[in-house]
Amino acid sequence: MGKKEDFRDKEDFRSMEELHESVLRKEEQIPEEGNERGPWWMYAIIIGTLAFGFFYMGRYLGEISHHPHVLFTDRGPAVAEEAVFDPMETGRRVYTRVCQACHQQNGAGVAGAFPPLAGSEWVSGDPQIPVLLVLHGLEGEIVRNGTTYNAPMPGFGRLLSDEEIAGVVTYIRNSFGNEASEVTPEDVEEIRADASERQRAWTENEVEAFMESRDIQ
Amino acid sequence: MEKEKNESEGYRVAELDRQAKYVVLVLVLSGVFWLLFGTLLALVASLKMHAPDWLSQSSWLTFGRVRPLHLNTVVYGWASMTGAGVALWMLSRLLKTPIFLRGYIMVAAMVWNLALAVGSIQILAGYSRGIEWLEFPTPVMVVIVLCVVVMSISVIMMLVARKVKHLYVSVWYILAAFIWFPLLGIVSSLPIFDTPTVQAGMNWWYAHNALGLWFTPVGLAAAYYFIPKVLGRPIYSYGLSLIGFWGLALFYNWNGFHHLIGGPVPTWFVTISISASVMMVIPVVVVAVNHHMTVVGSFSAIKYSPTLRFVVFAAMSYTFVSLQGSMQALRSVNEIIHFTHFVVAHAHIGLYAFVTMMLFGACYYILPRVLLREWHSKPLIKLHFWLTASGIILYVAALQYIGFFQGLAMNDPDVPFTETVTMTMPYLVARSASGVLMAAGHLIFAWLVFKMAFSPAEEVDTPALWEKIRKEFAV
Repeated sequence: MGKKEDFRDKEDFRSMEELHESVLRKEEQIPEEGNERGPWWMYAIIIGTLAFGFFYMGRYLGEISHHPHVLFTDRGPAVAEEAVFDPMETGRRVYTRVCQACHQQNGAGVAGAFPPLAGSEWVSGDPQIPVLLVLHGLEGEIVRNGTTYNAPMPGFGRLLSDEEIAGVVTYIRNSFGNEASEVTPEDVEEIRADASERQRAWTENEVEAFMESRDIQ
Repeated sequence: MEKEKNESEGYRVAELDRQAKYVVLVLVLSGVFWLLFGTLLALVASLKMHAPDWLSQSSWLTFGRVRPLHLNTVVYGWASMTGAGVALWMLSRLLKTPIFLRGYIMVAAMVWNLALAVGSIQILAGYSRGIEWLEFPTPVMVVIVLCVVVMSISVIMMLVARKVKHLYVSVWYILAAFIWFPLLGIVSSLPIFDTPTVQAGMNWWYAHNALGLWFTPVGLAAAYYFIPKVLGRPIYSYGLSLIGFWGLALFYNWNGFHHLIGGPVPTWFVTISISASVMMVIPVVVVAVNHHMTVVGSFSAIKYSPTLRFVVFAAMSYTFVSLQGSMQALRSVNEIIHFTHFVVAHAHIGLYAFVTMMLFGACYYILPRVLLREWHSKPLIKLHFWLTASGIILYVAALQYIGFFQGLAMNDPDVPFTETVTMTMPYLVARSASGVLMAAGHLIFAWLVFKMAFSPAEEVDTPALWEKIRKEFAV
């Protein structure tokens, strides 16, 4: 280390000339660099970092290819839990994640936009209708209890599995004061297959017409 | 004899500054203009985070256009232009050579401003390229890169014509920055990144390197220049400077892909990037030790010198943001903070607490020398420091605190998504408040700069030092 003087030590020895120099903004040249070695712990950090970096690279390198694949993702107990299918628990999760933003936590919906699930005939009636609506969505105006609702609902057929749809339909059929039968994943699979030609969202008339055509069969 | 030598030295320096005057002035003034414009956009974007309906009637002022334009104007307007001006001035001083191609650089700066104006209108009108950090349409970006290329040519000519034997550490960084940035800009503008995953890779290679291989070297060059210059003390170690520089050159280029953790890219691609991000600890710690050991024992100097106060704040922020970045790259940490406000705050420590504060400090030193005038108000400089410093500290504290909990909530399947948004509301308001503090600081800085540059009558000739004048701290 070079000189370690504090600045206060210097100020008393300054001449008038030096004081003026600073007023005239005379600068110091950048002094030549020192060549200290640095503290020992700095080298410890360097070696530690190199060791960690190479270990990490070796441990998590994965397959060297152009294929995207996600290694080391811990699926955890979620898989084990899902193995025992609990429709109400699955349904609650799906509802919070997917439905709640529009139909609200208490299933009351939003006047003018999203119809209520609580006390809805469609929800508690023939389970095929709620399954169809979750699969493909619903658009166009509907009127319930004198209130008009007109916000499109997207279909979730591609996003949700049969189990998840069975769960969420069972959940809305048995929450918010509703009481109705359980829907099984097999039911959903069957309905999905029957309506496999449907590409667009349903309208009220179309879904009723579809139900009638099934009744005739 | 010694005195005579100093005197001629002084005249040479004054002559270099005289020649650098208009180049530095045009770049810095343009930068300050874009800083103000970018700050305005930042405030609008920040307010929209907690008042989403405000100004949403016109598509030009929607969040999706205002926020990218904020990023692009502060990055390519403020930080790049001012940074280029500061770098060219330092290089001229360090190589004892006047800036070459001054006329061409002035023209380039004007074209650059024009490109920024055109690009701004294009982004607001909805013609964004849709790639983060590269929202300007490709032609605009190419024009900006060509403007930097003019400066790069000047840098190389200065290097060839240099009148010094020893290349000071700041010179390495500046030379590297002026080679790296054109490379980044040209490669990212090539029409070869059409598939989405490849484009994502290019995106983060570019965006991360723009910070690490363009702004960081300019910022570090300024720290290496101004700390010993203001203190009159030698840089602690030449050897450590070497490790710091080559460490950055070796490891930084790999870092960007840690943004793609969890994305559909090969695992090795991300793993190598994470390793390199962790390895960045080496140059960062070495540079931090080098700077700290140079300042240690003289910390009281930040009481007197505005330049040093900004520079030391910025240098400390560099250490902090880099170590934080190495941590964030780890998969286990990234899992929590990815897609949260934590990362937004992290980016602002880098570009604001480090780069912007460093440039403020450099301007306080450089402008009086090229203009041969003094700053008009010492208390206002102090106020500028405290507004910007407290602003960025509040910003980072609020967003990183809530960002962490936001990340935990987003990973919890039982928490509805809406809740992860509403929980951040008070902190988003705090962010706007911190934005107001920083904006006030920028207005003061702009006023000081424009007053100094454009008021012909007043000639203040005492250096802007706080408290007693001390020989050691020439501003």
